[in-house]
Amino acid sequence: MNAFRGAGIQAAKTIAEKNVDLLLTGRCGPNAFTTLEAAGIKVGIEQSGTIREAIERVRTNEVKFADKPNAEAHW
Amino acid sequence: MIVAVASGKGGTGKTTVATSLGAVLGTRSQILDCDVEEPNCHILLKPTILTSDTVSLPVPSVDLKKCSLCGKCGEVCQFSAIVQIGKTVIAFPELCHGCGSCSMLCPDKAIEEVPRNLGVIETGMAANLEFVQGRIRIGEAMAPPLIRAVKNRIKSNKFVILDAPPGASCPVITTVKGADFVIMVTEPTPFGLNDLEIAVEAIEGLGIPIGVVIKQI
Repeated sequence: MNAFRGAGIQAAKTIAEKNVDLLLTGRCGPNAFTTLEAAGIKVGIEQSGTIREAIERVRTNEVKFADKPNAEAHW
Repeated sequence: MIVAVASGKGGTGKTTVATSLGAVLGTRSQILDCDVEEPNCHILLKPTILTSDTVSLPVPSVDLKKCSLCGKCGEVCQFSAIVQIGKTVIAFPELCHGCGSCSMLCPDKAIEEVPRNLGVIETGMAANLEFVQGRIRIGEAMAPPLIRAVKNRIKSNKFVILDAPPGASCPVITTVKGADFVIMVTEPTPFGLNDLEIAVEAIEGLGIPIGVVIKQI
């Protein structure tokens, strides 16, 4: 991703084009969140550790979903 | 003749040098404060402000009823200020640089350009010196378009002094571009030298001759 600003929007657009249903991330900023929401992609937040651990949390319904951004712009 | 007064480090005396030059040249000159985020020439010059005009940038507003979701707007935008996603198009006006490509290329004529307020330009007289300054709207992040609007007020028959913002980023480059000479003001400290070197490197790329004034207290 090569962006001075708008990196979150580009990233969100990219994964939307791959028909992604669920994004697992630590933090999601306001513009990325707006874009993901428009694409109908669920945003699982406060994720850390390994990818295996994160996916396990999805399986066991332990993922917290964002209803608003949980990071400021330019965090 | 257009002379820009710049510096890497802030607080080295740019405005003191710029306003002093203006005071010496008097009627022959025009001073433009291009440090739109914190203009301060007015503090020393105490001008009488005669005009005040709002400056805005055209940003997209999408009418989804007309939109066929072709996505051309998002493809052309270099700043992700408009993006077609799913069954909608989202505009981020605060990221828009106002190039107008999205509305021009929209085959559905679904994009209207609406103004985003950037700030104001004030003009006036400080004794016999012509005075112009830009003041950015609080909350606005993009200074260069307002700086360009300030520079549109340059009177080519005058000796023009541009007071630049500190630093070496876009607002500085926007200010000094097109100048015939740049005066870099610095102070004899490690901080002054460090920031001077960075700013000189940036401005040298524009091919403008540079002179240095070292402030001594």
